[in-house]
Amino acid sequence: MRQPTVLYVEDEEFDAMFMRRAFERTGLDGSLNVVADGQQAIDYLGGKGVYGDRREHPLPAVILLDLKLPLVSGFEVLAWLREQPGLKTLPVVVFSSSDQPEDKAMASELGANDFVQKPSSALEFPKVVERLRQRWLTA
Amino acid sequence: MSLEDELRILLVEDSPSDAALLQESLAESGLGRFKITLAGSWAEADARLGEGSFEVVLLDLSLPDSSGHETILRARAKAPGLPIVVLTGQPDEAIALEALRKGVQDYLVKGQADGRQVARAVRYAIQRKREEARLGAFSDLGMRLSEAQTAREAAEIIVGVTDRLFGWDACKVELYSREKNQIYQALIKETIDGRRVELPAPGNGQQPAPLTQEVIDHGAKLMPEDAPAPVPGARGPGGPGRPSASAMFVPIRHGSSVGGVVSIQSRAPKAYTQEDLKVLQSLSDQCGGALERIRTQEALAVAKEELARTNTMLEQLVRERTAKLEETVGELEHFSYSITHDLRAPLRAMQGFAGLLLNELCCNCPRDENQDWLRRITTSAGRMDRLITDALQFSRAGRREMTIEPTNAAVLLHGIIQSYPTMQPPKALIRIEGEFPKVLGNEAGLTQCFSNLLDNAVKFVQPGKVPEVRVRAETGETFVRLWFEDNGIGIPKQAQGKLFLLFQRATTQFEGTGVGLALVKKVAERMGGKVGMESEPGQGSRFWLDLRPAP
Repeated sequence: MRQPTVLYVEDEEFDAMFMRRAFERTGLDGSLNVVADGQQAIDYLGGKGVYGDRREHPLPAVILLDLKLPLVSGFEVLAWLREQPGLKTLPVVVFSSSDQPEDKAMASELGANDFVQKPSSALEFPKVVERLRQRWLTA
Repeated sequence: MSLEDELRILLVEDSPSDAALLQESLAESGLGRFKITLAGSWAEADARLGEGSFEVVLLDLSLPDSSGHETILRARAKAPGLPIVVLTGQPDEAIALEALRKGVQDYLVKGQADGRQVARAVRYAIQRKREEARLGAFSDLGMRLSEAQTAREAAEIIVGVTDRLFGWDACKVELYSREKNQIYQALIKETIDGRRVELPAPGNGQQPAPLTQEVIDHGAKLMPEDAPAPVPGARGPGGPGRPSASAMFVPIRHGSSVGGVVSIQSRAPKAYTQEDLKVLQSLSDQCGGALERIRTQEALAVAKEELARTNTMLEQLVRERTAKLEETVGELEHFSYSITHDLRAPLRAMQGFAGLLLNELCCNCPRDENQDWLRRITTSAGRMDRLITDALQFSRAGRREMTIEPTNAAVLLHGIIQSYPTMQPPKALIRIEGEFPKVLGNEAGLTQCFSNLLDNAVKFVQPGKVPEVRVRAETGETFVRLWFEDNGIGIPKQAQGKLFLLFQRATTQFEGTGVGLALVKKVAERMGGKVGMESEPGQGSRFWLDLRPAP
């Protein structure tokens, strides 16, 4: 059986790179899909265009969502997602460097399931992956 | 109108012989020049009164179409301004007295009065009527003036009264401002084709004309025959611009100052007497106070309007500035948001890559120096990240909404100590002593202040020494002062003045960004409080935080 997948919405190239590494280190390699902006996230989740093939781009078990994204922001993705009949129950973990209570409150209001602040060092990403695995990836 | 002119008499008498008799005796009476118009019935009298101007009415009460009191009432109603002398057939005191009560000026018994008596009765009647008019004009003048709201309304009243008293072909009320030496035309009226017409003011804010100036400086002026100016625009029998023949000019006085000039002009020569001039002067004097009041009122209204305009302008300015400020704040907000995300991402990567090198490549690296350098990259990046976070926190502290409410400081202090192991034994000993009255503050703000102060108190201590901190409250008159006294390294005198400024650090011996105390100061001030300190190097520091007591 395939591993449950994670969709990581992240425009920072290095963050994405370190996250891939962290997934490999945690033995979850192959289960991470990365898209670089909000529109791509919406296209991926809607199975549009290049994301049409669900075997290659399966619906994720959890979405790791950055807030500040080009084109369509993380909040907008979240709001869109919660209105899609087939997707509204997908777990979303907001992953942002913001420490502002307003952002947390807004994320929670829009239906985020968790809020994880980006650690100041990318070396600590494995901790984040561990948290994801424990909370959202165990069957 | 003057007694020297031809006297126009309306004689209402149905008996031709009585009428003839009366005319005869009047001719012999020495009354002067007069002209009698005869009306043989009330209907005829009614028509004559409607078309002609008379100075006096001689009225027989028993007419074919009207009799007795009814005749008096009709005459009074038709010509309220005319003096009436009643003619009766026989001496009847009752009728005579009743007639006087109804407002006629005198009565004569036909056949018994000779010419001189008739003439005297006519003269007295005219004079009495004039007195009455004068009194009437004056009696409610004060009240009407007190109700006038504008100079024009007051002028309107003056013009009306002068008309009733003296009659005019042109009348002008000018207001005078001594400070500016300028004239303002309040009202100009003129008789054109028998109708009163208001003329537009030729121009305000001019200097007084020479004659007006003379009146302002030297007082009232009567021109019985040679009025100086044509009645402006007059189109009487003499054609346009026909000169007026007589005029009166009087200053409107208020105390010792002159607030304006009233002038009336007539086409008739010798229309006004010295006595008229005195009456006009006393009338004008009555107006002085009212005009002064109105002038003050109007000045006040202008000032108020000006004030309102300025206020509106200021409000507009404030709105514009606020909008601009909000825009700037919005931009700043966006700026700090971007900083949070964009500036910190490369730092995260730097730490990550340095860490990768350290962990994976240099494990077997013989040179310790290389590892040390990589660690320095990590440390520097971490420090920069803290600087950014702290600076952002500081800038947000000045903008974020803060509700101020009664707060229990002791509870917050205990809570903070419990959540930081570095503030608990055996690492540190913090004692919270005595009573803490409730203070006005914002819970999050106070928590921030307290944790920064406590954090400093346990941090800046000689290595090997256990930090001891004492927190207590002191109740002042308007403030509750919270003391944070430590056994730390103290602060050099030269650093104390700059201690609460952003990015200022008193020592490099310890970790820090130089934001903590600046943040305490800013938050304290936003809660209406103050912060300060006393310190001797080597003997610890005493920080204080003044807060308003809860009511």
